[in-house]
Amino acid sequence: MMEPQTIRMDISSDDVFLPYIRQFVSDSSLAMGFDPRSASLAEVETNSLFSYAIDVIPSGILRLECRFEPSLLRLSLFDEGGNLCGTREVVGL
Amino acid sequence: MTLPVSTVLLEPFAEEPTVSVLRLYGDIGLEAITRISALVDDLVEKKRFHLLVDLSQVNFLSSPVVGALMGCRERLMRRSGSIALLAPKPELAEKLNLMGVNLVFPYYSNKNAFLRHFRWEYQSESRSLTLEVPAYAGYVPAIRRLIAGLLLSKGYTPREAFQLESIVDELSNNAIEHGLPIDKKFSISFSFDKSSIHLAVANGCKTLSSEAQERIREKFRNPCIIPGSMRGRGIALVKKIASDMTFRVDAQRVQVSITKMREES
Repeated sequence: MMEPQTIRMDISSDDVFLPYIRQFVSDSSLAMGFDPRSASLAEVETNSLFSYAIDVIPSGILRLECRFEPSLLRLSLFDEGGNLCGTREVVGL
Repeated sequence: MTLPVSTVLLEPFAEEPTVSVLRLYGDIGLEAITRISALVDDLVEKKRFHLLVDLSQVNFLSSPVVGALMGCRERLMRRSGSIALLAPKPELAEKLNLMGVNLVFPYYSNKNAFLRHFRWEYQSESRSLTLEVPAYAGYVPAIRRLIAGLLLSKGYTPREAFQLESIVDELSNNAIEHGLPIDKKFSISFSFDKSSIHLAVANGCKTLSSEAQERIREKFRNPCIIPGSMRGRGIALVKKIASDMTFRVDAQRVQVSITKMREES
């Protein structure tokens, strides 16, 4: 794995986008050298982070930060006001 | 307030003034049809053509009532209106699905999901995505797929989604390969509504001389395809696919923006 990298995503809150956001995190994890199982876990964690937020934040923008560190993915979700909605960590093998 | 076993109420929808809510309670049988039809007639007369039928408190909905709702749907849709079902209980939803009701009426599990759909469909609300991504080509396939997925999820065709993928691919790889972003990042701004798509890809760069800036502008204005070479086709392809392409080249930043109008269905 390379040096730590961060992807910042600001996206409209819409439940139909969730499958594609999950897929994006999984694809990015694979691109960063995670094995398929860890990438799937990243997908599951993204789903759990977003599914609650999308329900309680009907409109507006959600921010997802994916920070890839050596063998670790840190996911953080913020609402439009910059308030932290939740975090998750996935160990990447 | 205690409600009778079967109740039909019409209320305004607080979150969206153009929508009325038909709230049903209990077991809804034949006796409710006259009232439902009268309420919808009244709505049509008042030129209120969007109806949300709240089924969250309904235990049973008879087939003739479903038929009456189909009739209401016809009346509203003839006037460019809509009708949707809100939060049927799982057992009721299963029965309605067996009757094929889900093929005719959209269901929403909660008000927020309905509002998101309604505002997109009837009020031209747009959706947006902004990405700040490390300048690493390995991320580009993930970005392509994400953008294509967002478009497909909102009813754009696979062809349109693929065309956008191609544009994202070309502009992102350009930003990474030719932009040599000094901060090792590039950004994508993407927004779309029912009728058009806007995309901008930007990168910072080492300070460009006036001549270097002009050379880049010229590449965007007149992309040069060298016969027999696979290089240099990206911008020409983007121009061909997009409805419009603009660019801005400054001393430390390059941005390419495109607009693509939705194809006629």
